Amino acid sequence: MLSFVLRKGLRAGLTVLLLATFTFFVLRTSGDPAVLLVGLEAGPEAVEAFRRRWGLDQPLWKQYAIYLQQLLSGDFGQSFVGNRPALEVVAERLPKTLWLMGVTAVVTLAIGIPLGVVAALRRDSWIDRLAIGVSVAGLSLPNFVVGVLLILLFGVALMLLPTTGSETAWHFILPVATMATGDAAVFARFARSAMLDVLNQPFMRTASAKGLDRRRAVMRHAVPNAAIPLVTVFGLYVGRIIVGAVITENVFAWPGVGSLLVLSVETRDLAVVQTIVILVGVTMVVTNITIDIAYRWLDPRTAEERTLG
Amino acid sequence: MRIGRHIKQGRRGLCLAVLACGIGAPGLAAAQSDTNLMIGVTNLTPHLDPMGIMANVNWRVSQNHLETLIRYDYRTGELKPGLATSWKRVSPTVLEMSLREGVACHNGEPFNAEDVEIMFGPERFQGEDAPGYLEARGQLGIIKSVEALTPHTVRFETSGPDPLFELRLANYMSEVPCADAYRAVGDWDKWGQAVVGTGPYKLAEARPGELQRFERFDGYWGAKAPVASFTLKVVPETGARIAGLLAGEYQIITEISPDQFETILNNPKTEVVGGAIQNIRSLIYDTRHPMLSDPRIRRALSLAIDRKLIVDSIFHGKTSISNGFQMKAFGAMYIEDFEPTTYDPDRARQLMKEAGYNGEEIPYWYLTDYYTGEVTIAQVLQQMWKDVGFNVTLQLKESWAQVGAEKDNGIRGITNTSNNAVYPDPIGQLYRNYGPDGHFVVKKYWSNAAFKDAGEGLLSLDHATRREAHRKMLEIWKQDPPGTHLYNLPMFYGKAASVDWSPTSTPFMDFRAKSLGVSLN
Repeated sequence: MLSFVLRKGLRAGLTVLLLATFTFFVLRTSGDPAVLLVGLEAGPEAVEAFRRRWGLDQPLWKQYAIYLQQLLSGDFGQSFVGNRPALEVVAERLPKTLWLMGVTAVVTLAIGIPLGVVAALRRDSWIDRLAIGVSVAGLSLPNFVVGVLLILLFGVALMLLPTTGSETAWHFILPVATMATGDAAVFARFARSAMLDVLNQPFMRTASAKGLDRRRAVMRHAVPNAAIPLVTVFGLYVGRIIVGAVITENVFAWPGVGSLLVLSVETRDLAVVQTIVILVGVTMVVTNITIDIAYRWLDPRTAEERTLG
Repeated sequence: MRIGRHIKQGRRGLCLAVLACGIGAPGLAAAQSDTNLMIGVTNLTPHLDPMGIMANVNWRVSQNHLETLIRYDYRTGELKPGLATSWKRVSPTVLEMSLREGVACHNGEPFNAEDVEIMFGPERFQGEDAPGYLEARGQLGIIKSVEALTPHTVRFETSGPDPLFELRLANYMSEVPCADAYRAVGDWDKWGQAVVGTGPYKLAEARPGELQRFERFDGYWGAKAPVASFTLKVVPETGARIAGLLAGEYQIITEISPDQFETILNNPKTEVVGGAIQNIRSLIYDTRHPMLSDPRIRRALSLAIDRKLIVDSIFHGKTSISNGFQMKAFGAMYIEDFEPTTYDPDRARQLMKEAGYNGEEIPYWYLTDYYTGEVTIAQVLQQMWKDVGFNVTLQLKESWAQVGAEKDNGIRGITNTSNNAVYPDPIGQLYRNYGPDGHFVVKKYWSNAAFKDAGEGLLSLDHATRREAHRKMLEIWKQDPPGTHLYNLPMFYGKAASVDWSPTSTPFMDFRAKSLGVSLN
C-alpha cells in the first residue's frame, strides 16, 4: 500500500509540475498583461515600467526559474490587481465555488443515481423511458443554454428567483439546477446501465434462490456492485463539475473561482491563473488517487490483480 | 438592501420596494434615499486612482468619490468651483487657486493645499519615478510644479503657456485624493483598491473582479449624495444583465447594443438611455506595414467605407458620424466647414490604381465585440473593401494583450481603436493621440512632421491661431491618414424607469446630487 501511495504521489507531483509549466509558458506567450493592466492608451514607457515592476522584462527561462523557486517555497506570486498574494485572492473565492459544487454534487447524485436505479429496475416501463428521455435532454443542452433559459423563466417571466449573485440560499437554485440537469443525466444513464449489468449476474439469481426479497437483494448485492463503475464516473464528474462551474459562474455572475479564472485569463493576471490551474490540477490528481484507493476498497480483486500482475 | 431579503418580502413587489425606501417626491429633486443602486457592469477598473489606469471603467466612477479642483459641468460645459472656490492666472504659466475651507476627506482628515501639493508632486505624479506619472503624463505632463502657498492657496506652474490648463484640472485624471490616506497605504497597487478622496461617495468595498460599492459620505461639504450607496457588480453576460434589469435586481446596466433595445423597451418598467459620447470609434493604419506605407492606399481604404450604412444598419441610426476627426463639443474650436473623408468607392479605386495596388494581403485585427458590434462591423468593412478590390483578411484576436504584443516588431495592419476627447478640445483628442506624445506616434504607427509643427499652434493662447492649427491638422490627418473615423462611439444603458438618471457625454456615470433621482414612477 505504501509503495502504491508513493508511486501515485510521485506521478501526481510530476503531473502538477507539468501543468504549472505548461500554463506558465502558454500564458506568457499568448499576450501581454502590461497592455491590459496599464490601459490601452498608455505609452510604451508605462508598459515597460509595468513589466519591470513585475519582472516581466526578464528572459522567459529566468522568470520560470524564479516562479518554480517561489512555488516550491509555497509562494504562488502576487496578483497584478491590488498586489495581493494570488493564493489569498483565490482562497477568497474558493468557498463560493465549493458551496456551489458541493450542493450541485449532492443534488446531482440524489437525483441521478436513484433515477438510474429505478429505471433499471423498471426496465422498458414509462419510468425507464422518461428517465432516458430526461437524460438525453439533460446531456444535449449545454450549461449556458440551460442557465439562460432558467433565468428567463424563473427570473424574468415568473420573477420567482434571483438571476445573478450568491447572497442567499435562493441564489443557489438556478445555478445548481443548471449544473445538475446535465450531470444528473450522466449519473442516471451510468447507474441504469451498471444496474442492468449487475441485475443479470448469477449472484443475483443466487440471492433470489436464497430467499432474499427483491428489495434487500438489490440494496445488499446489486447497488454495491453497480457502484464500482459509478466511482469511475464520479472521478470524471469532478473534472466536469469544475468546467461546469466556470461556465455557470459566468452566466450567473457567481463570484467564485470559475468567474475569477475567466476574468484573470482575460486580464492576464498571471499569478492568479497559475494558482487556479494548479489548484484544479491538484484537485484532479487527488480525486484520481482517491478513486484508485476507493477501487481497492470496493473491489479487493483490483489490488490482487496488480499484485499478481 | 440585497436581493435575498426581497425574496422573503414577496418577490413581485420587490423592485418597487427597493426603490421606494425613504423616498419622497419623484424626480431629480428627490431627497436622499436609503436606496442601494445596483448597477450591472461588464467589468471593473483594476485601479481606482485615475492615475492608476486611463480607462473608461475607471472614468466611470471617478468623480463620484474623488473630486477635481475645478468642476466641469457635464450638462453645460461650464467650469465651476470644485475643491477650489476661485482661480486666476498670475502669468501665462502660473495659476493660483483658493481652496474651499471645511472640506473633509473620507477618513475624516481635513483637505487642504498640502494634499494638492503632495498628490500632484513626486510621491504620486511629478517625475518619471512617480507611480502615476506615465499614465497621467499625456494630460498633466505640462505641470512643472505645484506649491502650497497657504493651507488654502495653491500655485501651479506649467512648463509653457497652456490654453486648456483649467480644463485639464477640471477633468478626468485631475481628481485629487487625500495625501494622508495615500501615505498610510504606502503601496500603489493596494491604494488602487482603497482610494480615499473628498467626493460625495466613499469607497466602502472593493472586491476585484466582483464588485465595488460606494456609500454616501455624510461629511461631504456640498449637496449630499442622493442614494445611500451604489454598487457596481460584474455581470459578464449581456443576457444575464438584461434579465437582471427586467427582474428588478439592477436599476442600471451598462453596455447595451441596439439589437437588445427591444427587449428592454418592451417592459414598461425599463428603458434605454445613452447615445454618442465624446469618443470617435476609429481604425488605425500601421504605416510600417508594407502595404500601408503609401498614403494613397490608406486614403483608399478610408474612402471605401460607407459609414452611414454602418450607423443605420448596426446602430439603427442611434449614433452619428463625426465631421472628420473632431467633435461638435469642441465649441469654438469646431471646424464646421471642414470636408471630411466620405464614401467614394470610385475615388478609392483610382487611388489604388495610382498606388499600384495588386491584391496584396492587408491584415485587419479585431476582437470579439470589445466594441459594440465589433465582429459584424469588421465583416462589413471587409466586404466594403473587397467591393473596391482590396484583399483585407480578418484576424480575430483573443484580447488586447494579443493586439498589444510586440511580436514582429509590433507591426500590425489595420486595428480598431476609439479616441476619447478627455476634454472638449482638439488637444484632448486629436493632439493627445496623434501629437508628439500621442499613443500612436510613440508606438511608431505613424508620424508626420507637418502635423507635429501644426500642433505647436494648437498650444497657443490665441484662439485664431489655435483654430487655424486645428484646421491644418485635420487636413493632414485626412491626406496622410493614420487611420479613419467610423462613427461616434455610443454608450447605451438599460435602466429602471423609476430611476431618473441620464448619462453624460463621457464614460463618467454621474450619481451626484442633481444628476440622479430615484422615484416610485
